[in-house]
Amino acid sequence: MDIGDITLCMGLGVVGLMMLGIPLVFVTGSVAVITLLLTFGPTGLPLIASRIYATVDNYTFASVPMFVLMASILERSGVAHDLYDAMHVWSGRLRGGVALQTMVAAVFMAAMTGIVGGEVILLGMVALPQMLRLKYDRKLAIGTICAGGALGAMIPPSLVLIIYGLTASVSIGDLFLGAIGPGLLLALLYMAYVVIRCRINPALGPVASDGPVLSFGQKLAALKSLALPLLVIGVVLGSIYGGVASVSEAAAMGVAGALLCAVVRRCLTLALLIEAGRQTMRTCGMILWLTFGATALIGVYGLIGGTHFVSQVMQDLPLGPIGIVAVMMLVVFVLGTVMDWIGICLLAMPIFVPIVRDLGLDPVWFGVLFCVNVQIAYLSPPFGPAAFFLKSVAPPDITLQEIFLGVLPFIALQIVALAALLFFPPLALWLVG
Amino acid sequence: MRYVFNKPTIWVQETTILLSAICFVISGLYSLERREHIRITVLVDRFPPRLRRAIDWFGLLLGLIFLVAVAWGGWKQGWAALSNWDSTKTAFDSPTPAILKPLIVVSAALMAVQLLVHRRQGLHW
Repeated sequence: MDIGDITLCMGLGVVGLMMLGIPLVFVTGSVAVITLLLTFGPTGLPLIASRIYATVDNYTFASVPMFVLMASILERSGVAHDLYDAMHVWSGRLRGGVALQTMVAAVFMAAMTGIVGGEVILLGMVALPQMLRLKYDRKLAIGTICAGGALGAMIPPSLVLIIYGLTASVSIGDLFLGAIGPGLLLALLYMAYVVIRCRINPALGPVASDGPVLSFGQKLAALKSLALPLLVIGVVLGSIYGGVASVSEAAAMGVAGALLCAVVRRCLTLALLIEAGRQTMRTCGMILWLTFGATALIGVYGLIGGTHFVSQVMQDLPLGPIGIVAVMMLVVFVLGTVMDWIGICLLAMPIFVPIVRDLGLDPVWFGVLFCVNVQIAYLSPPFGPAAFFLKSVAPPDITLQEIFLGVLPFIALQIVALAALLFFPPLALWLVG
Repeated sequence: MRYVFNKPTIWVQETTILLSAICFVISGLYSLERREHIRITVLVDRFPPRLRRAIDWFGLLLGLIFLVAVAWGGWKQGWAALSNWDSTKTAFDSPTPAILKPLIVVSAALMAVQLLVHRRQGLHW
């Protein structure tokens, strides 16, 4: 069997087993072990344990549990809820105002936590009932929430960027700098879309006519609840951008800031800490063991010459560098319809990023492209996690089909942003170095 | 520390690595016990129960293959690191390898046992 056949077998094996609902760790891990046994025999087995050790023995990885812990503390302290309410005061009497408010709140929440699942669920519980009550167009409301929630993957500090940085050995600080512009651009695109749709057809986003009219002073007072979250965001991103702290240190400061938030809001209890700790442990177990399986698979694949093979195939494509990157993005897009981002990042990026480097392109820019693509993966059917998250908290008469229909225009906007970034790299790179 | 005393601490970084790495390795067991590892259920949920049972057995087999391979392959390194009390050979010289390498073996073995226990209890993933 030559390397092309082995690649095909492994690829089909992984995708097929995944579709059977077997946990991804065991799919990638067992395919790695079987390939290893068939090619090198039992002498190769210690490789897997060594790779696991090399993975966990890494200072930057320590930022993952810190950021997750920070997010779960902030989530439990009710900061996000207040944030949403504060935005409401300012959304005023605009057409589609509540949708815009939701989007702005989503951006702030993304900068605070960056966990898409938590964000979509929270917005689904807070913003969706309000928009439905005001007789917003249901699809517009759904799309706004899912797309806004998915921004958590893009706006720093995002786990997607951290894991990408780790697998591709790219500076995470640079990635954070590169992603912030395109992330805000996406948010602006979504908001422009909402405004335009509501202008064409005002029935889509009625004005909130109830509720008290607030004076400017009262509005300003409502902004006070923004102070703490902004402080946390400022501490985390400021110390990374300012070059004062490494990503892990900044994450630890974020946890401290989140604890401070909880103290000020008088909800720092032992129960909250234990719950947040458990949540962190569960998320880490999920992410890390998946990483173990994937590094085993990629390690074995590299050993048998697979990485080299793929890079050869890619470079033989009759396309320019941008064309090759576009093909890679297409692969990620297709994988994204069925697969979780972390699986794609861990499996495809170790193969793609060296090719990108060989082509003389910037891996930071590629990381930002990947990140936009992850947004699409979060929304795209049949396996769009954001849709499932929303379904779990939406009223029962909202079907999964309706959710997927609602996110379609937003997917189109994301593709527009992706294309813009692809052909115009400075969009992502103007802040970096 | 680095800025206030103008002297970087030698213990923070390595201790952080060791503690979070321990947490990473053990957390897999916790997620497994709660059956929360990422999997795709869209298709499987529509399969008839008999087929799902067969897939469960098959998945169990795959899980065992991976975990046993990790434990088996890591055994020798783990034992060597533990019995020599390997350390990082840095200024702080923490015993990271001596603790982590055996821990990976033990966690993988325990996860394999946990899989069998779930099977006995007749639980899906």
